[in-house]
Amino acid sequence: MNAKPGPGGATQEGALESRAVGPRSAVAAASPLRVVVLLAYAILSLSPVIYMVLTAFKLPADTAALPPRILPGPAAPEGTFWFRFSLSNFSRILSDADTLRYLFNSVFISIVSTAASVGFGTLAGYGFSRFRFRGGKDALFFVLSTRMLPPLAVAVPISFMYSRLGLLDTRFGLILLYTCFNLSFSTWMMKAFIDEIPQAYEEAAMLDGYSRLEALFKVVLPEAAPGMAATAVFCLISAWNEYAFALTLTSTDAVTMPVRIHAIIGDLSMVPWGPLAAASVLFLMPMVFFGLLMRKHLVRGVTFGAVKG
Amino acid sequence: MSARPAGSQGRGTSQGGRFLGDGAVRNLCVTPVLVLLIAFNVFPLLASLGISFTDFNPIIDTQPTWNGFDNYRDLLDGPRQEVWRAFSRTAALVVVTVGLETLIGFGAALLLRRRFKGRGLLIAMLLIPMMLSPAVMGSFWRYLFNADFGALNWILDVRWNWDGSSARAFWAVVIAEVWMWTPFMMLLSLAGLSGIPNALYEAAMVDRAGRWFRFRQITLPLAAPMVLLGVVFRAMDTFRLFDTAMVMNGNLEGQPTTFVSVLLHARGFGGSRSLGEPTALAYLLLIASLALATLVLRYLDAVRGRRA
Repeated sequence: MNAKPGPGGATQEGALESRAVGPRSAVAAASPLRVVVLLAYAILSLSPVIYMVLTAFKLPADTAALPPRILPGPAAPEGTFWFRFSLSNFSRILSDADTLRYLFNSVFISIVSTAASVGFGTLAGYGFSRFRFRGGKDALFFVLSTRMLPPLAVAVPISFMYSRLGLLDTRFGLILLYTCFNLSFSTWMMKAFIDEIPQAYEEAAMLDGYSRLEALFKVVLPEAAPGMAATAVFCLISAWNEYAFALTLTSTDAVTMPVRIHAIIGDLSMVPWGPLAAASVLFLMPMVFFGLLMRKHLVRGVTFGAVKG
Repeated sequence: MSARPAGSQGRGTSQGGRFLGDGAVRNLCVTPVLVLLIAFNVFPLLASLGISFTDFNPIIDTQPTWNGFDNYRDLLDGPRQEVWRAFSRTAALVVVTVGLETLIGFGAALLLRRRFKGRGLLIAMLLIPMMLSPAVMGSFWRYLFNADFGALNWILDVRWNWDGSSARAFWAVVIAEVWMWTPFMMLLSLAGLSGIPNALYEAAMVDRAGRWFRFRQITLPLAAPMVLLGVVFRAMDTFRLFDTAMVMNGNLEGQPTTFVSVLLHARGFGGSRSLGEPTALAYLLLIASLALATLVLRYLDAVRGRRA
């Protein structure tokens, strides 16, 4: 991946799909067979999502009909693939005060916790990138190792701690927790991004009379902004999708959408699959959008900054 | 991490230190993160280590009594060996799921190496599953796996029951997990493959090396570090799997999908019981996860060193 020499930021431009890959890639085109196999895989892989989107537009009768109804239309004759296209699930979800409240919880908690973890993570990333100090490497590994803890192993003591502190079922409690579990990621990512900014920039600024702190805010942070944006998207996605802590630490007030959507299932004999699918589509879409926006940073994101995408 | 020499540190102190010295700035930067992580990870874990040796019950709130390793012994020696079975189910899940993800993901990456029109778009489409919420997708999988009107049974032309009462529930979770995380393995495999220098293949062609030989001697060994990094990451995540299994089958004990985290949820949040046993179970999970985490850290370091 690091075919291009040089540690500069230029390799960032090499997005996943535009880089020369594999043997003779610039010359040889893929055979049609490869493309057909890949297309088949893509269709298979996307079919649950496509089916979810279709289900979101179905009336209750069509959600339980066989064969599976996959063609939207004005009517749904027996024994065909047609279903009656309807927006009623969305209007039902969007007029449900509880769902809107929980959607607001998800938005609020993930945005605030993302801002906090990127803020703290950037500072710590700068600290670990620019200063060598005793125990620094150990501290950095301690930060990473907290990400490896199983959430459920921490959830039992945290829920007890939260009940004593009055933080159970509060948005603030979840924000604190989500900030913390994203910190190890944001620290490592931001350290990797800041490592690429030449120290000479700050040194020049400090020779011009800036203090270290001024150099950090006026020179380093503007340079690190794209990295902060990428880190923020990853933190946002993981806070948005988080389930284990939200399930164990909330009950009514601070419930987030993943918990809410699963709770819709309730009585298994009469699950409203249409509204469930509609709520899921509304909830999942923004993260697909953000994720695809950031896909050139994806390799770096999934390796905690270790490998430049 | 140690790629950069620490040459220039401290130099700014005298010149630019009119406001805050370097040491102060460093502490200002690093301390908040360390304090937060200690407060929310180390402190609860230390507290629960203490609790795991007692019969502490927060509901009754009497003075807890110390009972040594009783909780651990009860867990490992409990009725129907449920803890052991949860660990072995989890191990089976890790092997099957991560194995399938690696095979399919690496295979797809091999097919994606060559250029073709729309390749970028196709990769983007293939990555979508890993951006979705496991809990939300798990809820929808229940619809797809429904015995009476599920699309999957219709395609297979069967009336199978995939819920927790049947051994198929395990495979339902495997399918949902493999579907969601194969793109992750594909992504790391692609990164590994694209790091292989073309010159190696050209040299092999000059030497008239066969396809299989090139694959065995060049492609596999050079892509291996990234693929292995993906494998250990996925093994660690699958080992602590909770969301998908919980939303698909709930947390009843003794089901084919009662993995360790699910069992921990059942016992730790099951009402008025003592917290001693669940925290002891949490520690068993923690110790097993630490072994996997160590592997992850080692591979991260290895891959970083290789590419630095």
